[in-house]
Amino acid sequence: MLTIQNLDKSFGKRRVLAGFSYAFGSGVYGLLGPNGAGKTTLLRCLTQIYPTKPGAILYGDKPIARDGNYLAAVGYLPQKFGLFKELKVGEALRLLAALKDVDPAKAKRRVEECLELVALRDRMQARVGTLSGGMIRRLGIAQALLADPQILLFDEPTAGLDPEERLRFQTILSEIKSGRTVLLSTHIVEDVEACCDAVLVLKDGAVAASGSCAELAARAEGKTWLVPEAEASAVVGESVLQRRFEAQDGQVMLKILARAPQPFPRAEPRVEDGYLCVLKGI
Amino acid sequence: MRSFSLSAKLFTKSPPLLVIYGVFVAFLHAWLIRTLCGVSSYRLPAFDFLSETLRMSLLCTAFFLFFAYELFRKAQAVGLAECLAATKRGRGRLFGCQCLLLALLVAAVAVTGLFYNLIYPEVDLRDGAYLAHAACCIFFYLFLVPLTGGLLGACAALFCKRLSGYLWMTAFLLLSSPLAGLLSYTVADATRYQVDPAPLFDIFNLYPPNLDFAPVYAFGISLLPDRWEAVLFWLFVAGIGILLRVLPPSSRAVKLAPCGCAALCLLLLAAFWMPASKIDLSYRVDGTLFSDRTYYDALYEDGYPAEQPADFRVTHYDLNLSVKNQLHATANVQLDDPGLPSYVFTLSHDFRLKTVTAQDGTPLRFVREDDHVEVFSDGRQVTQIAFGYVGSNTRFYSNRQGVFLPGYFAYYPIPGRRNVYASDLQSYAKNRLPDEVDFRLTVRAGQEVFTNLSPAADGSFTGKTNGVTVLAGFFRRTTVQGIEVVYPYFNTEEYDPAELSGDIADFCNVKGDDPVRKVLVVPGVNQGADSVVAFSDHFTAEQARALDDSYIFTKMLDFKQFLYDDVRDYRENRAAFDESVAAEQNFPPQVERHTTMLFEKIQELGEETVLEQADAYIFDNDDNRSIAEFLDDLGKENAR
Repeated sequence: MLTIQNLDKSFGKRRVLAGFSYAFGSGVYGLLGPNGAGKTTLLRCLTQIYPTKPGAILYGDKPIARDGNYLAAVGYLPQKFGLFKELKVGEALRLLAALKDVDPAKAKRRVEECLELVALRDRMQARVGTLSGGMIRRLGIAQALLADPQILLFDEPTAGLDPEERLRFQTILSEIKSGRTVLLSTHIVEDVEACCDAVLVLKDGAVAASGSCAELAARAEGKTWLVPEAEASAVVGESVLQRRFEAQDGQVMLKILARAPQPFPRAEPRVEDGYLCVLKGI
Repeated sequence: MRSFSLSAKLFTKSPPLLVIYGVFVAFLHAWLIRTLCGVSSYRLPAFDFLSETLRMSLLCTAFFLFFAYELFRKAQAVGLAECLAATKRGRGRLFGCQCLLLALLVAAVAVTGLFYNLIYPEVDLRDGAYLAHAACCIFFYLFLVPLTGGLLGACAALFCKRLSGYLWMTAFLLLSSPLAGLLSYTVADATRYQVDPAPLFDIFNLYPPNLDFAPVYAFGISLLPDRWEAVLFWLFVAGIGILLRVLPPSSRAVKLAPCGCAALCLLLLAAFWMPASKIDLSYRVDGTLFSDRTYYDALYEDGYPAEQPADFRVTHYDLNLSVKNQLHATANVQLDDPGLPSYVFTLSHDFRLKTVTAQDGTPLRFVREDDHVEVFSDGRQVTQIAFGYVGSNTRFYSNRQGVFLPGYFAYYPIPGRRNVYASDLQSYAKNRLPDEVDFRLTVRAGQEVFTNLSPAADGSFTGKTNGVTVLAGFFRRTTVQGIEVVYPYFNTEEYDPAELSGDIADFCNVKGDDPVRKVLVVPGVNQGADSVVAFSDHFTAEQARALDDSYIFTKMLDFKQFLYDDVRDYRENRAAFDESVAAEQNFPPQVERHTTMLFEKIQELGEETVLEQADAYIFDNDDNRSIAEFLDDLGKENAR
């Protein structure tokens, strides 16, 4: 559905995307990567906020740079999103529906459907300014869905949300993903584990690893160890500290990633372990 | 429409914007009502009220500059901009709706201004020309200029955060305000006119002239092409910024449209800086106010050259004037002596000679030196010389809105070597032809032309005179007691035809058998003493009132007018005379105290003797003694 071929993007001397290539089909894709890896830049290239070379991104078989209708098929929730707080929720979405060329005859119904999807139907008459941060994010999802797009791009949609709102987001995503290509840029691995059919790890502007969550987790197979903190000096070779936690017996444990076999018990590898292995080259 | 109504709702539901706009409109109403009451209590002409209304232009522009910044900043501030940037037309559409809203809000202000001008008691609703001018001025200065300011504010909102945006906008306002003129005058004055930054600020000058000076009745408020060019320049500057931000970056239009706007900006800038005739009564050293003192003071630093009468006569003038942004003219002069080696003419340096040809169309060699041109016959018989020239003077304007070319100004070649500027008058010299000459004048100005010559069947003007005055603009003519008076009719207070009768009667009594049949009331552009000039068939004055005094002035040497005033005051208004004597006590010692000297002589020799001799002296144009010399000589045995 969406094919990216050797996409480059630089800002001055800084090369943010370096030969990024990937073909996205239907499903939810998690974009994982540290700050500055190029996640937001990639999404902005996909929305054409940052212009790209013709042919670098194809929608179907058409370069998006030359496809006048491409943006109509895109719903985008940027990292920083807000709506005019003076307007009511319904008015704000109707304004956006008008700006997005949603058929005027269907706009009102579409607004109600989208608000229903994000569980804000009952706040339709409330002023935007009275909504909480989580509600605003949900409103952002609703606006992205207004034109019933085939491609949904969410940039850090759960950043700053409480666990309840994050769970709600995951639920919404599972409801809307059908038949669509959804790209979810985040650095919250749990969200990726919970929602994504596939995950791409971005490093230095290119895809460092990709696959399903299980495949990414498998990258850490045989490299994840549980080490009592008191015995940390016994770790063999180079290692990366993944987590420090207190076990049920009160013992302080370290979860480390190391290529070399260790005289400690292995741990079940998870997506975040695989992600770190990719980033750290373990 | 749906987008617009929701955008409008966004404005109506924004209390800060709504309140600020409401307060501004209320202030506008209050100010106009106050002005209306204040001005109408003196029953000043409608044009004065229009001028007062247009003074709001700067304030309106300042208001909409900042107001639009806040209006357009909202989408950025709430974080909607990036979201809309990812839509096909969303950002452009929202911006378009906001622009339309802004235009409507500005239009409401302009309509308010128009409304008060229509209900002003002195306005004549049947006067189509005035109403059209007033409507155009209000459209331009209260709609287009503030809208341009608003769009610049919108542009700033797209590019700048609040602090930097406000700084840019404040800088723009300061540069476009009269403060910039004051600054450039200060710099020019401090550097003895070596550095004059005024031209740099010209493109910022968007407002009506009455921020700096009273507008000229005969000319109206300037709507000349340069005004449009300046405003459109800034409109397209704003357009470049807006298009760069609003168009999707991937669209081809984002490259072409801003480039198109930039090209238009350059064209407008080039057109703006093209030479053109304007009126600028601000304090700029090369403006109308000082015209052309700065130039001649520098040129004749060591004294004005002696004049040389021509050793030939012009027997016929055929003048073809084409008035566009400046004067394009051809002057065919027929000469009485074809055998001279050269012919010297005086033509103001403001006009650039393009061609000088003989009667057969062949070019003649010539040398141009400031206001003078010497044409060489090179052994040929020259019966006629055709001069082709183009240019404009900063005071005697000739443009699409009006023409003011008095017969005493060398806008056509005058035989001989004359001084165009008179150092003693600190103004233009009253150059007239030595004798009456046959003239044929053709003017293409796109407006009704008033001249001292008589209209001919072919649309030209013909007649015999020693100077041709050409006027166009907001003039009307009326004939009272056989005297045709051409006057600037916007000044309804001074030139009410019904009230002119008394003045004309006084004038007729004074002029006696003088064949002058026409009075051309010229525009008031700070001429000073040079506005009252008598020609063989007409005379020019700055007002139709007290024409008798004006006429008398033309019969004496210019410098004697001061003594004439003193003598008249002594006879008719002693209080004014005593005030003048008292005022002279504060003069610096190097300044001559004519009134005091006259008073002392009257005390010494008696009123009858002194006033009788003063009358004789004033009207004896062969007596070139200064006033001080004359008064000093009074009572001496060998006095003339």
